[in-house]
Amino acid sequence: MGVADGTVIGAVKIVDNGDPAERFNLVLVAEGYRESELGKFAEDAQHFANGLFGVAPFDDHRCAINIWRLDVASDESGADDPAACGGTGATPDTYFDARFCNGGIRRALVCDSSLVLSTVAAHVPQFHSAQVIVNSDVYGGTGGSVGVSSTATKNSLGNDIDWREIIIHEMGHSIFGLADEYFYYAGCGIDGPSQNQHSDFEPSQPNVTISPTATGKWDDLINVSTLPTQSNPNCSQCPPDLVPEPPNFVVGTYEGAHYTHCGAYRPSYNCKMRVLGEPFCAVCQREIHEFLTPFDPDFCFKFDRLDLSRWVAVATILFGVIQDGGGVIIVGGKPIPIDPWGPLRHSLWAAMANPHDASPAMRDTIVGLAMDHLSSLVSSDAHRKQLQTQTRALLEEAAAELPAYVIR
Amino acid sequence: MKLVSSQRLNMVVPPPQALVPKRDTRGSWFELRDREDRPVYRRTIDNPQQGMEVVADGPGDALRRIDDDRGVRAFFVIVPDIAGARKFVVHAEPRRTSRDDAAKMAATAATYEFDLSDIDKGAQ
Repeated sequence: MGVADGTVIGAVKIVDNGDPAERFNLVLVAEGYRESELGKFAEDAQHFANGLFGVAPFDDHRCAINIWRLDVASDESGADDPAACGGTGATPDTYFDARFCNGGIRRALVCDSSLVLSTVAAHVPQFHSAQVIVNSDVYGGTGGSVGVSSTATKNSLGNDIDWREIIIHEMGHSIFGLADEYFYYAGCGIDGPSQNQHSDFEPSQPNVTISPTATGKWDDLINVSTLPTQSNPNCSQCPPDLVPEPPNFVVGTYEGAHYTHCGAYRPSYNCKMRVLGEPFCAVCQREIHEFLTPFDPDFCFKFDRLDLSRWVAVATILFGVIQDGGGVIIVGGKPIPIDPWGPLRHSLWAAMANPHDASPAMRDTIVGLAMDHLSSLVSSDAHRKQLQTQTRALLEEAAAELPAYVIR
Repeated sequence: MKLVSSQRLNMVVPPPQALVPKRDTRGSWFELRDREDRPVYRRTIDNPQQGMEVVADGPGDALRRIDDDRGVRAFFVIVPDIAGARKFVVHAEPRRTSRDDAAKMAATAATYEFDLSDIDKGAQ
């Protein structure tokens, strides 16, 4: 078992942004791939890299990150899948001894993390993070100092899943020191009363707090008038769902976080540290941004990412931002300031970069914001007022279609 | 908790967080301390002794914590080479589960200290 069951081929830099001494180095490790399957691992690793750079704020730090794949050929494919957990009973010989069924739960896929760390250190000494990709169609993954995920595309219920989300969430813990924002330990209805109320101690992580006003944590990012933004009326239960869900750029204090139903708060209703598939909330994004900034090169420019037709639109927004530092959305007749450098920034940029992927309401809101900025520069009073009237009508109509929420 | 190995490398380290945590803060972090035992670098880390996180099938509760049946686990940290730093200190919350009683939930973090000169001797 273990090192006798395969061979380390070597490390390949698949995203090269320069000297590993100056960049953040993420290593993706192959487990359960036979030598003949390492081409699939290369595809899986590239698939992960593409996904990572689609997630804010990694998109803004694309040039800060080197991604390596560590090609390790195992004698056999997959991972141990004990029958005791309802698995197939397979026990393939793999280099890092990956196995499902840790703690009696089939989805709990683990491997020899000590061996992973020493192997990665031997091949990419300047690594900051090691994540293991296991060649298996069985859904599973776990976190820890080394994140582990299978490449399954469906869970056991047959629902589509994106395995990359598991690794990105675990990076939130192992690299950036973020807390879980969900409000149960083992699950709602499973936990005992110890999960009803958080302790009186402030968690050390930046994205959870016992303060209903987030004092000293993210109070500077709050853009709602009601604090706590959501309270849990029954601490013996998980907090109720909000319908519609407030969007992630609405930052407040939502009760239910850090494995407890009451007494701990999270910044946004959803976040990748609460639910896979969601964006990181503004607080987590800020933490990741501050972490990665020292790894940014002085200048980052990628010709393959330049699309002039899109750049013009982004430049229009930027121009407006430079002029007055923000925009306004009118909801219910009330002007609501939006800081494009704040949590909304990535939604704005994503929508401008891929306008046809954005919802019509988001697209029209952004166009309206840009037009509002530009119209303020028109020298003729009559034309400026005419443009502003039309723009604000567009904004009001579009903003009314955005989810309802309360913003300061 | 024991130190398994160390290696001196030329690389960028993450920026420090607030050197002194706010009063009544609990969690897991590591520090470098100087001769007067003052922190000179500090970063929050994922609790190395916490139960492991596992994905779940149910919609809306995609993640949960479970007990880890592996006896020994390894983790690593990257610390800067700061002139005047003398000690490497890890604060680690005790392992907790949903079955813990109030006393165990209230247990304070353990502190593990390592002399940097000893670490250097063990550096590869």
